[in-house]
Amino acid sequence: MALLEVSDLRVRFSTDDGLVKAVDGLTFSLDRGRTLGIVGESGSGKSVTSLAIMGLHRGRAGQHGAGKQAGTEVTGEIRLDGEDLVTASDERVRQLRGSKMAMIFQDPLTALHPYYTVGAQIIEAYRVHNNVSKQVARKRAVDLLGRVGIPQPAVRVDDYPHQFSGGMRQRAMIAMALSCDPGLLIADEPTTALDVTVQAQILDLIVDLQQEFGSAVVIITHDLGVVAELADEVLVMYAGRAVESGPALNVFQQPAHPYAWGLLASMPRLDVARVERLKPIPGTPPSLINVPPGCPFHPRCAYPAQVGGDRCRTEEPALNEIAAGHRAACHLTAAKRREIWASIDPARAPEPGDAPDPAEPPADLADPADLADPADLADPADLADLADPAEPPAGPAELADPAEPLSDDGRPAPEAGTVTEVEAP
Amino acid sequence: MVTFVIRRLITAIFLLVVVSIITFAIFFLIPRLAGQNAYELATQYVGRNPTRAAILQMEAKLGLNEALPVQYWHFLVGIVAGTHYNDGPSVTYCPPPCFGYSFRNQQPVWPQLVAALPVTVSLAIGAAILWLVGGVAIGVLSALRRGTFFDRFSMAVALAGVSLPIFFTGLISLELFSYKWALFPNVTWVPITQNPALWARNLVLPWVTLAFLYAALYARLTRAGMLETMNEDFIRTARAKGLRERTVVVRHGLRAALTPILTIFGMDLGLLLGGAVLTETTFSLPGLGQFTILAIQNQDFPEIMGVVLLAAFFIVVANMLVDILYAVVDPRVRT
Repeated sequence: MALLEVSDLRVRFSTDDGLVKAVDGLTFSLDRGRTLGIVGESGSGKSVTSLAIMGLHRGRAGQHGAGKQAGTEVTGEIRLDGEDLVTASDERVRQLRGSKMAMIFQDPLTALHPYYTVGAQIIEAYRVHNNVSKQVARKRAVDLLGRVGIPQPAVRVDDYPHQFSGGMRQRAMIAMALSCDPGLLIADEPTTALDVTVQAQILDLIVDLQQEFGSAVVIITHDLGVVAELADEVLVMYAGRAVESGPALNVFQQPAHPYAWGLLASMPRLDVARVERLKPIPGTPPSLINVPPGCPFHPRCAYPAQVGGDRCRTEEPALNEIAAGHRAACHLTAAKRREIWASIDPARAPEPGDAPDPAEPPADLADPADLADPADLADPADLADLADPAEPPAGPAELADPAEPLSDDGRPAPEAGTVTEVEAP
Repeated sequence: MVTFVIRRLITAIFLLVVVSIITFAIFFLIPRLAGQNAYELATQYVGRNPTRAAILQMEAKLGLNEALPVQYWHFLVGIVAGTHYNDGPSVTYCPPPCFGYSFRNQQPVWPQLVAALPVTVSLAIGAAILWLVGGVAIGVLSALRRGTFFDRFSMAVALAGVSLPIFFTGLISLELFSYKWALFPNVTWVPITQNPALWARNLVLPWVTLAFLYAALYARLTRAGMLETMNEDFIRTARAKGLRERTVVVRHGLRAALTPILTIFGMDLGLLLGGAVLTETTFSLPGLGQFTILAIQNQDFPEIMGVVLLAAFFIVVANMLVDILYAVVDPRVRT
């Protein structure tokens, strides 16, 4: 049984403008020790999904200020270790929060309380779920801070968040999240607010700690580089539903959904000479109140004509398995998809007979380090480089090319690997 | 932290000196700039229908012919060492701390201030406790129950509270609770040393009246602050840790929302300690506020100047305490 099983999850908010279907029939599962990357634009429902898993959308009706929380409705199933969280009581979910599932947030400065020391906040997190003395919890906090790479943890434990650097704050957040050894760790854009040089360190830390603690990790991001580096599996979300999911390699090498193509094509590349502009996805994400009928992506999709008829506008495509474990929700036929993807990205599209070859998979999917190893893969080195902008680009040849998207200081531009974000109207 | 406190203390002392210079200038420099000579100025310090001799005597006593810095220096020395108002034949002694001498009442200003102070302090502190507890509690509950009947009702009352002047609510409460139903008859000032029970009973109406105004303000401020704070990321973190909702609200939410309230509270209390003019007048409490009104009505300049200085002192001290307290509460301010 998978550690986390989400099936037919629907999250709706009633607002003055109407019912917002933030998540609409999402299904996925995640095993212990594995990493799932959830990718999508702003407003695609990825953060709402994580909040729903944590039960943080809850709020006794009309309370806690935020009006939008008042009329939140969650249906479907979220099973953590077999226990359904959707129907569980508030108190039960509270007990699980922090102990069985923990979360790291985007901006560690605002996510930490400015008035309490870092140590006090970790101690608090540990003591809610463990009946221990302050001294014991403090020792645990110091250990954890040391474990996440804070120098002089015994001293820094008494520092306030503002005395930490951005990277150290995120490390402290991670220490806090791991204090109770949770089986599930959700990281909601854990590196977005950080300096590029620090991003790679934080990602490495998450990988290390995942191996040490054996947690399942959900990484929510719009940064495809992060996903390429960390994730074993990828879930691409659009308009509150999954449009493509599968092993990270498959999704990156042979993306099957036009939206995934758009995401990949809008990402800067270091391995090809920059002769063409980046291709943004036209249009804006749909309103989640009036989701387009049929395939929600059809208004922005370039290929409804290739499907033929009115199918894209009238019939919502099911999330069908197109290869082992690889699913996509698109009406295009397999042949058409391969043809189009090859025309979009000749460099990455597989030659006939090349990968994916089930007989020769990368040695160990569970180890994301392999993703960074070009030897194992057909051509994902570009992705790995994008994922880690702190690393120098692959070779001197690329550096010499003035067309490379490098910033002034010679490092890859910080936007590398970031999907152009378009805010929902 | 120690350096911060010392720095803040020095600033406060500097501020007090500046305030005293400005106050002094208002009473002695501006009339001169407006074209009054020493004789005309002295006229205002003597009783009604003064003789020319009396005015000249006053001019000499106050040293109005001396250079202004010298006059100011005498004034400062008087605070520490007392002043001898000397016109040759007679000497009027004002013992330290001498904040001026009211020649109309034939008594130094300071003892009058000291006599009025307990009234104002009793009124201000009592009301402050009431409005702080009441206002913050209502504000927090309103924020947590946003949009409910409780929220709407208490915010409507709060709006009335900030809108209604004290001489209205005070008179209504006097009429109802003191005269009509005689729950608190004969509201007069009784020192706490004389009869604590009566002191408290007689202060209930002024306390509630004054606190109503401020509680309304504080409820609205607290509500707004809590609504903002409860949407902060660190509140989500606190919930994500699995803390109980009460802990989230009190330890994480209220702690952050109260900090700005603290600043305003210090300022309000400091301001009130200089005299709650309307409340004291409405309830006939012989505090600094009433003292001020009487001094102005009598055009008793030394008294006015004394009370202005005292009020300024309270505000400066309150300001300093708030700053120091802020540093205690918010670690980001300390460095």
